Amino acid sequence: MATRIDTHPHPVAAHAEATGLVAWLTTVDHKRIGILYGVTAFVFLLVGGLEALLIRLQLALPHQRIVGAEFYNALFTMHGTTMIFLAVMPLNAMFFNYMIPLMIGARDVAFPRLNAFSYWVYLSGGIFINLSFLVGTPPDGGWFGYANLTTRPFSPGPSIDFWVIGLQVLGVSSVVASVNFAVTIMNMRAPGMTLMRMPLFVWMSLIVQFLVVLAFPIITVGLIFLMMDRFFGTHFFDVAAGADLHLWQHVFWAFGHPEVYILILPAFGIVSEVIPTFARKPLFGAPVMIYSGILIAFLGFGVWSHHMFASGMGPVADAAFSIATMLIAIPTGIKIFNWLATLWGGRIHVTTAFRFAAGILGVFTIGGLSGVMHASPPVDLQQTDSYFVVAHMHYVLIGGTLFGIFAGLYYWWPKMTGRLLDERLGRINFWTMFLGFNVAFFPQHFLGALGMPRRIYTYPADAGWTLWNFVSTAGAFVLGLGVALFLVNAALTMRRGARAAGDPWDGRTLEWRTSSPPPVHDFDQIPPVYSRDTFWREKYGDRHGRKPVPRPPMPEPHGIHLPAPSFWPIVAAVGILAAAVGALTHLALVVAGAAVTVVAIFAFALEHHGNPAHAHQVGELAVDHRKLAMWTFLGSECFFFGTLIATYLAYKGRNVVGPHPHEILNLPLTTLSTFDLLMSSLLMVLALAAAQRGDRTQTRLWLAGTVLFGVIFLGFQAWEFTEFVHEGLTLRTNLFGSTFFTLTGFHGGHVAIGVTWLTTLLILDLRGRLTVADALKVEVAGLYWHFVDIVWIAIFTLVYLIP
Amino acid sequence: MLAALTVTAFGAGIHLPSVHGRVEPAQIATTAPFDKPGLAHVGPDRYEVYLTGQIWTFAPSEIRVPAGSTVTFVATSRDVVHGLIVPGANVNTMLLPGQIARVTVRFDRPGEYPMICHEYCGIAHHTMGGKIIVEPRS
Repeated sequence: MATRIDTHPHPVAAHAEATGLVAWLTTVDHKRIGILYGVTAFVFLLVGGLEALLIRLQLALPHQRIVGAEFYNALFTMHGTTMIFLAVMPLNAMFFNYMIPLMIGARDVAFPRLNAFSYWVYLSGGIFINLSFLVGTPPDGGWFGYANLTTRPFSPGPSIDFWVIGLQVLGVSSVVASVNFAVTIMNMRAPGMTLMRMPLFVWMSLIVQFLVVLAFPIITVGLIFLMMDRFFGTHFFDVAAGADLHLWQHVFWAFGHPEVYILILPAFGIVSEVIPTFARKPLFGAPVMIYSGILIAFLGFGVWSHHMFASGMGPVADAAFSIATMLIAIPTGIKIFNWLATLWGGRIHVTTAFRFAAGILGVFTIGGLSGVMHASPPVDLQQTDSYFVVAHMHYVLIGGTLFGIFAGLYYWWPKMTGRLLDERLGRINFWTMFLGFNVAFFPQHFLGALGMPRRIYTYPADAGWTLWNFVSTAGAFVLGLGVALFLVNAALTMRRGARAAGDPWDGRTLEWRTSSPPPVHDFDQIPPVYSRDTFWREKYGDRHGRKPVPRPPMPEPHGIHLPAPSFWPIVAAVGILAAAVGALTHLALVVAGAAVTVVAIFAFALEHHGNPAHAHQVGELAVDHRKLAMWTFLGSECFFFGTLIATYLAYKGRNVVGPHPHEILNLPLTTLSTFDLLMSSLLMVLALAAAQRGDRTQTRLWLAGTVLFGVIFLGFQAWEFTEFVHEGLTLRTNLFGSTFFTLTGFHGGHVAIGVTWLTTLLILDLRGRLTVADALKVEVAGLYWHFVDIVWIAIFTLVYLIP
Repeated sequence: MLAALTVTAFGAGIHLPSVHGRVEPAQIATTAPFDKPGLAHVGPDRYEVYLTGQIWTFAPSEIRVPAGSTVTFVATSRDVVHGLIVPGANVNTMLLPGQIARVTVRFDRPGEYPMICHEYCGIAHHTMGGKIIVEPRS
């Protein structure tokens, strides 16, 4: 089968991908980025594991002094932060990157350069947080960072600054990556792959992308509040100024609980791939598995306060969150039973990947059951902040997520490397981890029941906790040995392992239909899709053995277009890293880093401007990728502004000192500026209509008008802010000042970005570089602009009109 | 589900903590009842404990009551978020600065019950504790 590789407009060698350092630094190949994610995340997994072993050593016996108390607190803080944000999420991202395009029959992700950007920003954030160890002030506020312990008066050094800024950097990486993968999955499926034909792993990944897109802005706002309290003297978590510390806990857990599903759903997806493959049966009740995944995600947003039963929310809130939490056990239970039903009557081929997947059925279920126990507030009150919770959470996150990741590693390793891992060593690997894990964490249930609280540096000998702590520590080292065995297996087979065929497991999904490892363009021909388990159907036919009629290869009139490598993703990420370091050292570095990032973003955006290969990116949903990405991102923005507005309303009327809103807000003036901003939306509509019909003069005119009206709005806002400062209201004056300036300031920032964006389009137009083909760029900018205007209507109503 | 909730909540006599008023943390030292932390005898076999948590102690740190007493903890924090758990006695509440928590519990069995701060509160969090001594009735 001859493959025509079209080298126009970028000369890419399709068969021999460039090697060497520069090729990796500038790569936009989803497979290479997947490998970069995997290697980096595994290193962080080892770092987090080392931290865990130190914690366990310290707790092995009473009155230990292996590390100091302060360092111990840093260890559990960094263990949680590292494992969640730097190890598990990026290990999942490795599979998203490498596998999703292969499983949906695509040649790359929707935005290959943004994908590289996500990776480099993740690496920057990971390095930045861990730099804190080198300067001797690692974060020590817990991974949950409860304010007000984490505010400046109680944590004066730079330790929490590393944490609060580092997490924001990582948040950028996560949201960008998730928008990218949501668009990839929705829009880049091979023809015939309807949503319900998508493999379960792709489905669970799609759900996770939406969870990230919607949950991360909530924590971002919380981190912004904390950062502003620490750096600019606002009062979000200042009790003396009237603040309510429930705010942090709500914001943190409104993110934190969806985060649990962000961590576990990819593992559910992997199990749903591995079990059917090795049971040689289709997944039982696949549509129900999909619906239950969606239900888990939906309910996952309504259960966060079960982390706060002890905080005094009152019986009504406690009961509501308790019931929602119990409900979420139903779709989760459905999944467990469907996996069991898939195994029933299957011709099971027991491999290491299968062992890890089957292991989840046992140990994750234990974690699930102890989770339902916590759902009941009266029971939870016996367990909150005890080692029982530590046991529960590790049963879910190791027994569920990490075992899922190892199942995925053993399952997809041959696809990624072209070599099979050693199965005999794999069996030892699994049993060591399984044994070590259970010995380490099952006794922690007992410790919790015996009253041992979490996060204690040491404990007295007469507490009765010594035996189980010692056992737990021994188990932790066995678990560590198990993880090390994987590295041994990988190292031994990397060069000398058996070569993997394209389809070593007799797989069911499209990734097995190409070679191992796949060529740089993934598939010579975009594969045909006949059903769910399409590759299996192609090989063995349906249940009557009827094979589908082979389809002629899809015509590819433009040949295979592969994205060209780019320097700009890494440059932008380095700028962000420099700005983050600058925030803790010197303002000039912040400015320099921000400048580098801005330049890189412009270069990035204009790199392929006018390139005909980038003009049309219409996919499966008949919408352009960029438009779909903007809609997805605006979903994220809704939660961002929603959290800001909710905080403003929650803190309304809690001022201890004036000035109060009614004394200072200038309604006539703001009505005028609101009218101005709404009119700019009208001009934006005219600009888009003109761009779409190719009327250059009108496009120019209306774009300039929109920019002008935007600038006038910003002028009004600048004047309003100056007036308020004159009348004695600043960020630091009171809660009203803190919430008002933060909310309207971030809105103003959005308007400023919109103005910059439209100005860029205007300049392109003036230079004759905005053609009809670029109308979509005007449309995407317009979507953003309209959204920012709509947000202002909400702000104007809630802040100015309702006193 | 609801039945289980009802049974545990009412049958086992476990009460959820809830907010009972606010107190300005900066003025705790002059605000009743926290200006005099300690035990108050409020009725036959009924006591109230006015308790504050601060980095890294409870005030009072030791409480003595006779067996069979019903004790109400009226508690808050002077600085950061603390917790109060009494293992074996259905007391588990967060102490947030600015907010008064109220928990009532009956001590029937004589003995020593630890009071533990179970909300991470900084470097010496593990040392923050106290005890309740339930004395046998003579």
